[in-house]
Amino acid sequence: MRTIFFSVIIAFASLGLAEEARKGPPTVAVIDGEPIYKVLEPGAIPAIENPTFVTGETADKQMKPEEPVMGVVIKGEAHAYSLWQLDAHEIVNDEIRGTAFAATW
Amino acid sequence: MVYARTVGTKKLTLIVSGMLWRDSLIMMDKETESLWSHVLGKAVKGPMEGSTLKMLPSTQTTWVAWSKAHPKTKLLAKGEEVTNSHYQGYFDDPEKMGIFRARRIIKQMPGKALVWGVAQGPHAAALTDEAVGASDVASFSLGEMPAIALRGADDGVRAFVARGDGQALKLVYTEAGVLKDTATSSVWDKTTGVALQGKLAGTKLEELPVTRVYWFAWSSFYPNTQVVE
Repeated sequence: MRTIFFSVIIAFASLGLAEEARKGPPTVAVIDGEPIYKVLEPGAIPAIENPTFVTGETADKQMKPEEPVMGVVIKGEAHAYSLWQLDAHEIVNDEIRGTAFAATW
Repeated sequence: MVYARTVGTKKLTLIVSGMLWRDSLIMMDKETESLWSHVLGKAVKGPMEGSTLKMLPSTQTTWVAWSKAHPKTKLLAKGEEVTNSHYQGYFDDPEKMGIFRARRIIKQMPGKALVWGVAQGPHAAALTDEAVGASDVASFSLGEMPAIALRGADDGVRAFVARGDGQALKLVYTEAGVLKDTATSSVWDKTTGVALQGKLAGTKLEELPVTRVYWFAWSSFYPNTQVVE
């Protein structure tokens, strides 16, 4: 699990929001005494809603051997997600044989 | 972390809300726009506040180890060339912990140490690589529940409730490298937690979802966590 969006910082910089970054982002709520900060619009980091998959050699060609993956096995079917790819999406809405799940990073 | 995204009869589509809480991701479901803590799997605001998503077992390893152990695996297709992490600088810098700086780090180990986290009800455990690595098996407990962490054929770590046939089980590797429990000498599979031979053959240990996580984040969400070193 990664616990930061570096893209947040990049977004602040590219939007010329240096001043806002110094002040800190707006607080939308306080939960258990700690603020929820709003740093980007919903969906600005695009979750994957309709994932497509590859197998075998095609899959091997896309991956470096030591590339880190998150893996699940549900009802005997294995799915893997490159963590480098998940950096840009953070959430994959997936389904295996009737079990709907989200792989999150 | 992997979550079932069906709550009751409602199937949710989870997106990135753009909000952060305790320096970690807040997810939003498109159906009700409730806000969900990534780490807790719980709706903290919105119409579904108080609901939880069931965490499902998953693990983290390298592509070579995963694909060898699961030759029929499907891989999420890459739409673009991705050859490295955007975040390598972040991963490599021991001082960078969250963008708002984690405030509640327990100084038991370096904040950027990676641990395997397991939580069950009010109990939580963080296992270091050393704990699992020494013998590829580590026994611990979550409250009254005996538990075990195993390194699987795919090199990922999984945790299970160490209980079968109504008794607590201690699993150890024999000198020949066979995983057996000391009570019945049944032989166990290190990846699935299924007994392959012996009195308990066919029994499957209940799997506990494991999260690969930085210590600063884990200890911030679970300040009462035990550490298995």
